[in-house]
Amino acid sequence: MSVEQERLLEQATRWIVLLRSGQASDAERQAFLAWRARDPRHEELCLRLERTLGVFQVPIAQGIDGGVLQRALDAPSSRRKVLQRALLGAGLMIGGSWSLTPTFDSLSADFSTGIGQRQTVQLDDGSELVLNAQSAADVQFDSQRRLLKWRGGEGLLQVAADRRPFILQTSGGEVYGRDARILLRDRDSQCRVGAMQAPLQIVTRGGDRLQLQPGQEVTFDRLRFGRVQALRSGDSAWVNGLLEVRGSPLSEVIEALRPYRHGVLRLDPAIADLRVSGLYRLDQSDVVLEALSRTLPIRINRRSDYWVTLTAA
Amino acid sequence: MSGLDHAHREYVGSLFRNHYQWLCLRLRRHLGDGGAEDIAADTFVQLLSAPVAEPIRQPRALLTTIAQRLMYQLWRRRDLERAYLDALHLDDEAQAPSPEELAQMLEALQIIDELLDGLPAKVKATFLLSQVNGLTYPEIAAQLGISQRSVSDYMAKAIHRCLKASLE
Repeated sequence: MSVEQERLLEQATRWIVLLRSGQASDAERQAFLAWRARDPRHEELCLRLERTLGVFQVPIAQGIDGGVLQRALDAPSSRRKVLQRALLGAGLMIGGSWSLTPTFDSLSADFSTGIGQRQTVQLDDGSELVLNAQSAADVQFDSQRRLLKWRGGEGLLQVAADRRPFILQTSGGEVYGRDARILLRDRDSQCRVGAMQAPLQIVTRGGDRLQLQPGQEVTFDRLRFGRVQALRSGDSAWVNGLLEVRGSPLSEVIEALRPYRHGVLRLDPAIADLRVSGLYRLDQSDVVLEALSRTLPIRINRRSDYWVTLTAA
Repeated sequence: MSGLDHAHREYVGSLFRNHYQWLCLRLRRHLGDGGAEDIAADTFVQLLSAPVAEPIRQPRALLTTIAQRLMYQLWRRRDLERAYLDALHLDDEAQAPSPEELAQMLEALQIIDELLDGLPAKVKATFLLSQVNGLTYPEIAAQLGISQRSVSDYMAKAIHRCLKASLE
């Protein structure tokens, strides 16, 4: 950009910042109009700015608050870096004018599933990982250790035998296990871990330790453990695309369905504790909702496919 | 169709035959089957519509670059969609948008996201309260708990960015 253009931008910026303040005087407004008329480039720039800002007519017309937009724009895009590493890490040499910044320092990979997807992946050491919908993990193996960084969601991990220790890192802490079969859920900084065949050692970020025996599960966050409970048979049913509940609160069923649905599924707190039992297909969440509405005193308010509210009937 | 176009199509066709499966495989571990094939196909469509000097010395590097950019866009769109619906969800006054409104809004969000990309969160918050809510600087200062001086500074950053984008 030329020096002159830069000066033009600065002048225009000063004017517009002043006009938006809500404190500009009539004389200042007149002066702005005179500035705008003085040079066709001034006029042109102002017209172009209006065009650029035209996109904001959409939220304004829909009555969307600026704060809501702000929160949406704050959505983290942590996946970028991970992807770049993963695509390059596989040994692809990039050259010529298509050069990216190669990072060969780690052979990291990234696995993730979207809404309604489940995926089974084989890790380099022979371990097997099943990801439920809306789940993601980074794999960082080196000669000393095998580190699986859980980035959120639900998974079933079969750890292969290997001389290197296996560390499963979650938002609440780290899970250690040898030849273990681990059931994991980590959503909204609340973790639940189940030991399916070998004992697990769990250490929270805060340093609390717990030994989990096969057949047990526990919830925890960064600071504390919940009560150790017997693993329920239905906890791993999602691997087969099923949701199995026995006397569970409705809120738990809805939580399980959310990763399978686009959009908003609202649950009235008044009915969140209704008890539900049954076997449902995760891939048919609309059918599940219909079935629930037939057996429970609830009503489905469907404004559209992606905005569904459950209230008391 | 001109001779050059035809040659370009032939060339991209040969790249497609040689590398499409490879690209799908590479993308599959990030996207699952359906998504991987969509992005791989879009990659070749982009290559068709954007003539490059031929022959490309390292076609797989080029394909990876294009696919990567498409994936960023796709993921960003998903991130934005989820964050937007979450934000609406938390806003007690928000009404459920119609499918058309949501589609329009998501398209606008992506444009706004690119327009304001890289600006500090406070700058974005300030600018959006001015641009969307129509608040004056004293009102914005009160709402965000910052000085009016900061509001002016932040507005200057955002407006400068928008003006610059308008020139491109």
